[in-house]
Amino acid sequence: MAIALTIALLFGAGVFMILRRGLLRVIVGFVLLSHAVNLLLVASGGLSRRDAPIGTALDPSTTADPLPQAFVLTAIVIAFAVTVFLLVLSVVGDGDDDTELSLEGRAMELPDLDEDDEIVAFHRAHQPTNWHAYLDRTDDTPDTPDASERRGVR
Amino acid sequence: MPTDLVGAALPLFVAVPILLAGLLVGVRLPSAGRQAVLVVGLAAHVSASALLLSTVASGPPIVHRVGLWPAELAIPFVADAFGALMLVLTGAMTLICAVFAVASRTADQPFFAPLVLVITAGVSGAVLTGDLFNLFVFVELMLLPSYALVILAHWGLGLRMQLTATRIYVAVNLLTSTLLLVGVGVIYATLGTVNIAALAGRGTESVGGTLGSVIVIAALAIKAGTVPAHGWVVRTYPHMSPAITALFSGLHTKVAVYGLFRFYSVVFDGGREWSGAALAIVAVSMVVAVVGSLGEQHGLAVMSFHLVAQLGFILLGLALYTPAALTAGVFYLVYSTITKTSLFLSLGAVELTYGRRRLGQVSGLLRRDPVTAAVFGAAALSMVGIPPFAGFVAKVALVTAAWDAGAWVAVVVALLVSVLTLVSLLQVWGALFLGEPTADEYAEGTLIPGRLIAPAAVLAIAALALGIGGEPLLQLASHIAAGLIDPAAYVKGVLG
Repeated sequence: MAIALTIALLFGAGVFMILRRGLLRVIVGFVLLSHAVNLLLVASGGLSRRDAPIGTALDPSTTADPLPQAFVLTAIVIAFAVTVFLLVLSVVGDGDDDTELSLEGRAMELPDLDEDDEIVAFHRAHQPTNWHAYLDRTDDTPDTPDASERRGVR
Repeated sequence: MPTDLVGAALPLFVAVPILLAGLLVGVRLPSAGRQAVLVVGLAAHVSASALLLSTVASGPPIVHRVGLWPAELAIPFVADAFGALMLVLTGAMTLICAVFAVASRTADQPFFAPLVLVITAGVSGAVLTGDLFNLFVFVELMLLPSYALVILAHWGLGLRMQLTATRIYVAVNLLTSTLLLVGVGVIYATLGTVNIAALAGRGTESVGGTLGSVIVIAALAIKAGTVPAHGWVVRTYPHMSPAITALFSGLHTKVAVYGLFRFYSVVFDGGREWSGAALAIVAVSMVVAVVGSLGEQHGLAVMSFHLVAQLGFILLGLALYTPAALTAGVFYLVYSTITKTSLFLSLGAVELTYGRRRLGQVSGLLRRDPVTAAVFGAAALSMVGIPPFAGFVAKVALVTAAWDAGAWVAVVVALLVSVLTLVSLLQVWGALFLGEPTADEYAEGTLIPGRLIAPAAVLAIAALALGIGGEPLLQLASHIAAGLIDPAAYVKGVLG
């Protein structure tokens, strides 16, 4: 019962945090969720049998199920890796961790398709005008912070 | 070859790409060397997959219990006809997209080749594993390099777009993976195993088992991008480099669809009283996605909506769950992967060459780049379902199966969505290929280099070939469908 309540509490808190706006809060939500799932996996093997599953003379009625523990180890590693990646995503881009589109765009160069071709000249003359993350932007709007502000995009 | 030997080689489909990737990271090769290793390695992967498919196409599944543990303890690799077909399909799509990436210089990124190889390992593991938890692990193995690729292989779209798309992409996939893990945990807690063969037909056995199965199916459906959880697909796919969009469209959603087919038929026993809900979700997916595509202004965004709509068609075969419908679904899965990737690649070639995303900024390509127009037109006709392309065979098979199953609503929806698909593709066709050629002052003649359009052309020809000579694939799909409805051979192979 205690484990069920703990899992429920962690799930509730995790879902609450994921529904927040800032990416950092969302990440905290994911951490809580992954803890909830890890507990759920441990509980799936039964909690009453607790002897270490090592050796040859094992009593199935008291020895813990090692399989869920292997599950949890794998799940912890994966969740940890993705969480760290999400944390990196939250700090790059002007140090703004908001999930809204408020990062200042930095134009990346197009890959040259053909170095000794007139396509390069074409590219240079015709950089894509639509840098914006939202696809609905009008294409003649120059992509400067000022223009973004004028259009009401933070 | 003795099947034991083939079986022992099954884990190599996962191990070799990972080792190659590690080698490429550890050994500093020049860019051309990395790309050569990538393309040659993927070509060898596809060849080995094709050999495997020819071995298991009509025979029993080949099973390998890793470590030679007893059947009830082992974590099995299973290659049946469906798994081998998926292995060939995903391998071929990866190869074609890698060639496109090399041609479009997306593959110049130092880590592009290793990341794609790790994705290949993850996809191979996901289609070959016979264990639910390993399915989760291999799907993660496929997704982790994808997160990096979304960031790395951008295309002149600015840091802002890269970050936003990646944040949505990673967050949704992490949440879905968590959900999948919950499902696996509940299934283990109530049914006591995560071996798919041992779970056969037990998904609806108890309340807990049903709950776990439904959670797993929901997680896989979100990963596949069905409505109402399609938003992340259409919000992120258009923002990646065209080579990456095509690669992901051919792999990620399809692996999720494969997982759905396998789990829904073997474990969940074809849905039973849930089939009405499945049909409703599929029908809504098709309609919502195709209507969404009509409102999009950008080629890749239109295609992302079509990706969701086509998933609806594939899953319609699963939701109907008759032998004919499953056959049509499997055929549709193959054909739509080929056609869709071709469309993504030809639109990507246009975008990369002209540097324009919005429909209407580039026009009159029919006169300037007739080859591109022909390739796009062929793939588009195939997707709508016009003979002699594969889409016609797939749609006739699917609609006939739906009619025979008495699901006339599905028939109406499928035909309506096909017409709307035609309307949407005509919009793209009209904007891109008709009208006056743009930017005449810059160049005369063909602008899109042959090597950029060649991968899409190969796939368009494949779609045509499948339309004219689709009989062998239909027979294979029929064999697969029989194996899904009655998984006795699969279960016997795994559990001995």
